[in-house]
Amino acid sequence: MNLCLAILRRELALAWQRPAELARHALFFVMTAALFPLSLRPDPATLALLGPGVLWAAALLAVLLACGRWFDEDLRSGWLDQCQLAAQAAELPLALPLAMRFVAQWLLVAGPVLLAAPLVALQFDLQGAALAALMVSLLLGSAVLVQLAGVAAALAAGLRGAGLLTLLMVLPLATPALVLGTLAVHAAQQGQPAGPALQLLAALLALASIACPWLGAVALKQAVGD
Amino acid sequence: MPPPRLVLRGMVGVRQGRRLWGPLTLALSAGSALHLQGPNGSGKTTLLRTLAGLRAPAAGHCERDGEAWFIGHALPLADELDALANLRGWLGLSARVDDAVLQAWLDQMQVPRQRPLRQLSAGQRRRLALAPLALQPRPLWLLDEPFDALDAAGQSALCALAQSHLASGGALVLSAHQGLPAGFPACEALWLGPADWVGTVGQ
Repeated sequence: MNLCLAILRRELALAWQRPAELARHALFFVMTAALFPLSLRPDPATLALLGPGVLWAAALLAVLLACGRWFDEDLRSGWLDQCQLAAQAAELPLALPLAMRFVAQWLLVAGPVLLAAPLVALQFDLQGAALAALMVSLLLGSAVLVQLAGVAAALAAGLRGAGLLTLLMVLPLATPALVLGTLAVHAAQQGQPAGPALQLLAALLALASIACPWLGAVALKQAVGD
Repeated sequence: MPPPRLVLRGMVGVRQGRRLWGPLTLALSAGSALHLQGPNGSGKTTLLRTLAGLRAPAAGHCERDGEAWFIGHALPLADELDALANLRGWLGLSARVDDAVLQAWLDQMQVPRQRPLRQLSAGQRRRLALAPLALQPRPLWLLDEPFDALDAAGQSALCALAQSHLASGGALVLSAHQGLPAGFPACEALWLGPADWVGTVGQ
């Protein structure tokens, strides 16, 4: 328990010292999504058609770009060593502190994007049920994306050019979340229930939450022991 | 005969396909200290990391009696955070820490606690690495170049910590290039020499 709290607290304290980092992810999302209404035909029907896809793709890139080099500094400074030793001493799996790290990263990266999303959605005339579907799908989907990116970052920890590698590894794995997320919003726009797609997305999140911390822990142990 | 804190059985260290040391067989009893010596690249850090359980040995195994502190050459400290927040994170990994205790310790060690770490000197940062040893007792210490960048006062603080650690039945393994300061407790030496060297230190 101490282990989890200490990790969460340190990550939040570090993020507090770098507020520009937090704003950068949200700004990337807002700028990417805002360029489309300006460059497309300014016609409500077109915007409503393209809106879900554009918003989701922009959010996906914003989250993935933020997650390239999570573990490099922690590996260099020996912080990961100390996490592993503390987990060993408490006879806990390393997956537990890693899961905590994912939670912190999700709050810090997906949080600002989620806060900005309703404003950007106005540009695409997303309202009511469609907006609700967008927010719920982003909430679930961003948690999946952060965990996938975390596993990739753990695999690439300590390698040069790891940022690009992470992105390449995660993009194909992230597509199911993208497809399900946009499906939910499209369904809500047409007055159909968004529930089935959101439930599948929630199932995806459950799967990722079980598998990703373990996979990431295996990769990090390898990086620490090298 | 006090119980051994650390037992190595036929342990071999390999890095990048090259054998660094071993097979090593030795036992470190409670109250004793081991000083790793050898040229750069002879595998002192690798040995310490293996003893901590961060690396798997290529052959053989080691048994620890109780938890260990491993303090590496790089310190798990973030430049953006101040000394207090850094220690809170580091020590908080294994047990609840009281801010008042940390503050008292930082004042005693004369480390400014409110300034971000990037404004502190290398020696001041190194002093922070003594905090886990002083504030959270563990029976085995594994220290990689702990005297690096420490001034005379810092060195004597570490010597005093090591004295009381060994007196209370702890054990320690350290590497130190510059030799040990005069006040440091007596150590056995282990030479990690050229690749085909086989070393044993009997008890």
